[in-house]
Amino acid sequence: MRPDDVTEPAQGSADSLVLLPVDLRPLDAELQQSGARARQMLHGRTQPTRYFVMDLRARLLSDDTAADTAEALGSGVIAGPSRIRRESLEARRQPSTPARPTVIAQAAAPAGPMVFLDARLALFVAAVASAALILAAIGSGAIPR
Amino acid sequence: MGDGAGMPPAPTFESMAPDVHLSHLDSSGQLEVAARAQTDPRALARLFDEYLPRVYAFVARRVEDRAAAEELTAATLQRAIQAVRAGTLPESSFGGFAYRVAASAIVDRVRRAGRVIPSGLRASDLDEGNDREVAEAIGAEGAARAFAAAVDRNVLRRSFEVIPDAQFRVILLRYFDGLDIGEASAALGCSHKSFSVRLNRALRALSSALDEEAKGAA
Repeated sequence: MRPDDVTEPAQGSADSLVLLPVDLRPLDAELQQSGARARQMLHGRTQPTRYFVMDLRARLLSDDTAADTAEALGSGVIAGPSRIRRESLEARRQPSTPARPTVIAQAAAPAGPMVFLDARLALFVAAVASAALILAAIGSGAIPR
Repeated sequence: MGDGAGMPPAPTFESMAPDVHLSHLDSSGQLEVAARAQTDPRALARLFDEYLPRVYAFVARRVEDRAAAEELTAATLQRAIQAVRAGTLPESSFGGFAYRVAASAIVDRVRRAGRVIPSGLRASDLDEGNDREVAEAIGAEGAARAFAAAVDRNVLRRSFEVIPDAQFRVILLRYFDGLDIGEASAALGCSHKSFSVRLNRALRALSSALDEEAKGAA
């Protein structure tokens, strides 16, 4: 075995240290390139939809954290829909207030003096007086039966 | 909530692409964030942001149905987050644990697709003979096709079919999914050292197959 046959890390990062013999490194490099190309080719299909991301975030993380992180992600991309969704959720969460009867009479205050009431009273008095006069005239014989 | 001081910058949506070579938390960073995530919702959100696109991409490379990929991803992350909250995350990184759960979920889905599983039973309970290997092979079929399509050399593509399925799955995890050694070993349920040995053997087998092809052509 020659000194340059000693295995060396194929990757720089400490996390991805893989000891490979020298003769396998070209194959390793070729496979890495192919893998990167394959991931690029599948990029669209392997990307989660925004709706799925936000929905899962809401399900798995608390609402506050979800909204906070969504805002940090950029308002132009995710925070918009999230905010709408959050507002609509909060609107739904508003406690319903018990129904109270509205006093309509107060709302519709009289605009002027009670003219109509007085007129009706006057008409009533006039009618009663007329009836009394007619009965009196009949009784006195002024109006023949 | 705070202004995020002390937290690493949240990824933009564009950076949530499934390319695993994007900067991400290393193993020690993951363990540190996972430890904080037990009590800090923002750290938990950080892990979620980091791994949702990766785990989804891992699943979607193997499961072509988008709804199924979403279902498996959701189940995987739910389990991983539960483990973080309960403080039961194994020694492996959060990512490694998530990939392992996802890989098992894919195999389980393949098993269930072929038969009716009574409730209360795991699909693996009904395995016979080499059923697990078959399910793993079927689960990796889509990934194998996609990877082969991206390989330039015909002879290398043909060599993929010559080496054993178990060795090819190691190659898929390492090169097609681009997992680092910690994540890949966790996905296979083995140690780092064991994964290195398996990868060496797989590459050696592939190299031998290439040599055979070259001899056959000559």
